[in-house]
Amino acid sequence: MVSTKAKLNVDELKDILETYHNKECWTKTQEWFEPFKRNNIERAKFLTSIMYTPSVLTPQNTSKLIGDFNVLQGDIIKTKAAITNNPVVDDYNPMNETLYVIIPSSCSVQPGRYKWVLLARLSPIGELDTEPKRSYYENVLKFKNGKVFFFPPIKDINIGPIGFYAIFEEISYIENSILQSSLRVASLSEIGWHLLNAFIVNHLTRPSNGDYKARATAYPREWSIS
Amino acid sequence: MPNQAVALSNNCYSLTPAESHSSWSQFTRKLGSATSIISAIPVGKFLEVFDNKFNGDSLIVFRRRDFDNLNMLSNMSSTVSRCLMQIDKMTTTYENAKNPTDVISLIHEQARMAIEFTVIPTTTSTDEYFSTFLSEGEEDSGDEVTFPSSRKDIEG
Repeated sequence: MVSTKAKLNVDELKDILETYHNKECWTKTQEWFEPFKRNNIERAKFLTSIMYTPSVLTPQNTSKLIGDFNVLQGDIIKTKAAITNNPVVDDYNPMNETLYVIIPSSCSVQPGRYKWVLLARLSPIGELDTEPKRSYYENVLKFKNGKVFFFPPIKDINIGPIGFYAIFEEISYIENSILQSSLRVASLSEIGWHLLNAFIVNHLTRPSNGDYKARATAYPREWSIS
Repeated sequence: MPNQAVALSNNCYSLTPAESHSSWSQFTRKLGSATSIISAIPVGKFLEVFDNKFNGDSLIVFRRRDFDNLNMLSNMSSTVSRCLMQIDKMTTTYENAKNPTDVISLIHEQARMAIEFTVIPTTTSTDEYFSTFLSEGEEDSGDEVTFPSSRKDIEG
């Protein structure tokens, strides 16, 4: 259990996560979280405190970056218009409004720029009434499960009282032109956004060591301009 | 014939037979398109196709959602993956194939993949599966373990 006197330097975590594209970032991130040990309440509480912006980002406070478009990568949206192919858990009903996070891509989502926008569905976490559910939850909180990412509860959203699993085993997407029919319910903070990026880089797009080795020699060490 | 219902079951998620076909030609007569196959298999069900060409085994077809559930909730994921990819191809093959002989040849290959799935033992329960998965590298340090039970536990 975290001692009441233990203090963690969150700026340190922020600095680590800013290098989310580096190989060492994830190891350092996990080391930073080690003092939480198995205190999953405190761990979830911390993630809740850092994950979202205090209020949803709007075109007004980001207008110079995104023009009149009203969603950003890392926004949580509620919509019926998204498509989830082959949902892996039974709680998905296409007729109901569902929460999704807009997956960070190479740049912010802009009007007319892409036809489709990639999403990950947020599945509300139910009661942790059995050991497998508790263990699964703990594992996800510790970022050990590469298939799902933990999202804390969202203010004013009744479902997901102890959070959500963002499911990366499914393919979810929405057409850009109807994105604006969705309701934005939360935005990731800078640190939350980088944490999600680090997770994606290290779990979903991480190349194997073999890949590194195979690519390492694929360039000339010197280049003479003729 | 192997007992597919048992082979496809596990403690957390199980499939039951929808229908079986005693020969490949009977199967294709009744379900000659991807659309008709899909409508013939409700969620949680599978169908079996037997044929002499399968050397005494059978072809198992079930829905992608069931595959995902099995994949998520059982210990059979890697083998099921191989099986499913082949079945996915099978429906595409149905839609695109012009020569029925080629289809049968391809399905025969795919059937062999599916058969591997049916012989996987299912003795590991879901609880065991999760605890095995979760305890990897986890040592019992004696630290107190806590879990939230409500929103107020984790909101400031």
